Amino acid sequence: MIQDRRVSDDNEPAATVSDDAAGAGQGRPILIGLAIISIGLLLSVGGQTQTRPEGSGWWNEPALAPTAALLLTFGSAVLGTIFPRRREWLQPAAIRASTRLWLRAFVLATAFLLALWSIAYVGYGIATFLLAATVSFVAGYRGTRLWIMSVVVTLVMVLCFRVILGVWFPEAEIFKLVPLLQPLARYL
Amino acid sequence: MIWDSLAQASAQVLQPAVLVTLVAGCITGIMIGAIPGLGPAVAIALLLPYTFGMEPLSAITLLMGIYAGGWYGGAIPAILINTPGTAVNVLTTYDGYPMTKRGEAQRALSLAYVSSFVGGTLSVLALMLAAPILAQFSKRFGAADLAMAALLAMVLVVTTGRGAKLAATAMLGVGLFIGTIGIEGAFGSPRFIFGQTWLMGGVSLISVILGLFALSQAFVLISETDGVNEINPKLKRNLFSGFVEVFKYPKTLFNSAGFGVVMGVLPGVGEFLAQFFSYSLARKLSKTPELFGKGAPEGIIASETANNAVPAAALVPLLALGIPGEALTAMMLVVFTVHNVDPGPNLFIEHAGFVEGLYFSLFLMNFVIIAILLVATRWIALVARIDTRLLGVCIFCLVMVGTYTTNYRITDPIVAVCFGLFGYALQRAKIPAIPIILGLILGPIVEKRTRQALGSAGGDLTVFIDRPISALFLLIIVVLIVSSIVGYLRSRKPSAMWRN
Repeated sequence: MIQDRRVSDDNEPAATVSDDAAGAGQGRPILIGLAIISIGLLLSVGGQTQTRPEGSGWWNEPALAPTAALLLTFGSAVLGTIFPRRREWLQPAAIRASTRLWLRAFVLATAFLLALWSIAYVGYGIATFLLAATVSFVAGYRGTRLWIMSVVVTLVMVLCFRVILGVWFPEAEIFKLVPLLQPLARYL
Repeated sequence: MIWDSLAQASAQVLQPAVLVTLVAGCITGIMIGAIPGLGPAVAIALLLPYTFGMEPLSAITLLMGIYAGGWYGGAIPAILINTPGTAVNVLTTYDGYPMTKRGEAQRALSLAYVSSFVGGTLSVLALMLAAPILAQFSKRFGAADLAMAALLAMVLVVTTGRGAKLAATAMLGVGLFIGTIGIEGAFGSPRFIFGQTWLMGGVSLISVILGLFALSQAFVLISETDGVNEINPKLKRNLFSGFVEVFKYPKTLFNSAGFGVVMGVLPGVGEFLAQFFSYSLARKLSKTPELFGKGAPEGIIASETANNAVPAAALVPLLALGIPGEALTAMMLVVFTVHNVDPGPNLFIEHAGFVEGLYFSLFLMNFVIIAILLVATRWIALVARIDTRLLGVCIFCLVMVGTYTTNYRITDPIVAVCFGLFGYALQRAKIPAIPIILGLILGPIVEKRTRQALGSAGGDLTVFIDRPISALFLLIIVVLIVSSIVGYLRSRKPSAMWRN
């Protein structure tokens, strides 16, 4: 991306995000997905909203705003799919490149959620270390740099949020199970 | 009278807490701006949850410092390494980098700083003059007018934005729909909560903002970059040369500031159009248009003055009407809401001290930023060398705290992750995410005001045409939509293809 943002020496704009092989043609699947989801939601409007009490005006109908929003989404997504800015679909090479990037993104998202879930068991500090180490690994760091980076990021986060700002986290199970670690519970 | 106001405002801003946030915001903004790949939106999204515990003036000062500082700092890599620090510094590269190649880096930086300073201070003056007038005028606004004003802001964001307008409209629809989730105001009935009690209060705005702006950027920084920017600034100490030179081009300077202010006030327009128009006009009016793109000082002046004239001016519709015109001021509206400060005409009466303090802090901000830049540019330039993957790791850790500790619910980070992935997909497809935030924030305003207007008119839809202000806004909305459609159809004609 950094390279993509660079402007070439003769001041011709260099490749932009969607100009790269992996990025091209990704708008249409998003719009198709949105159209399908909005149709599904439109069909469930009756079940997911209540009708207004008798005697109140039509403009007070609770379903009015979500229906309008969903119709706008559906209409523009369909039109955007039919009349795209650029008529192109993902090419096989681009799909492969895109799949790699999306796999990475999903690994990162999973690591993020697992780290959050683990806060209740191992505490904020250890969860942050696990997250930092996993994200650093996915980012391409290996060996000593990986560990140094994870430890430094964890220390900075713990120092900022737990020590200086005193942000509260529920006490983790590990501190109840291992009494030796109890003095650290306030910080980790 | 004016001296009393000034004394009161300065007394508020010169409190240690406000001063510290002002300086911290400016430094953070400059640093964030100087790192290619980040931008003020990421920093503001990350810091938003932590500003809720601050006084409103400190919180807004911190966020505005980041907003303004980001645009100043973005000029550094644009000039030194031909890579705009933020998206709005693209045109600065056109003339800044050729000057660096000629060995005039400090001259280019100096021009950028002073132009930014002039744009920034004039923008604050415009805010001070325009906001109270608009607020006074907005006392005449009824519910129908406010509904149409908010609708106009949304239409402007979509029609004047860059890229695919239909996709942007779909994103606006997504934001509007998300804004309707939860317990609605009129009868307290749930909408689209699917039996989930955590959705009764609506989708967490902080989670959406952090997901769309911070997490999505973290995915990009970690997955798609090799992390390192080559930068080797050879800067001498003298960064003062542009102080005089800028004023040799008064037309360019003040035209660009004017464009920046006007575009800043208009919802949804912002920096991109401001810099584009001012750059084009500067080239047209220049005695040496052939030098543009090859290191013309006027090019840097036009781009940087226009960019930096936007932030303070963008606060005009927010303060006067309570209607944010773009994502960054939308995030600031969240701070106002959390502190029970209602922007709009009453703000200038009920919180006059806050408004005066805000003006003073915005004014002071420009002096603080330029002082920091003049002293520390050489070191700030080195920030651009930071491995952006490290920033990605930090963003993940910050989002984890920011989303979880707002409500201590696991669902909020899950929402943030979902929007992070969605934001990543949008970034890759070059679809703007800003309409989602504006739809989410402006949607409830439109719904509430429309209900009020129709309620008072007994459901008669002509209420939106009967009132002159509302009718004017409606007319502008129709013109904007029709001209967008006509423009699109024209661009698809074969003759247009040949021209291209």
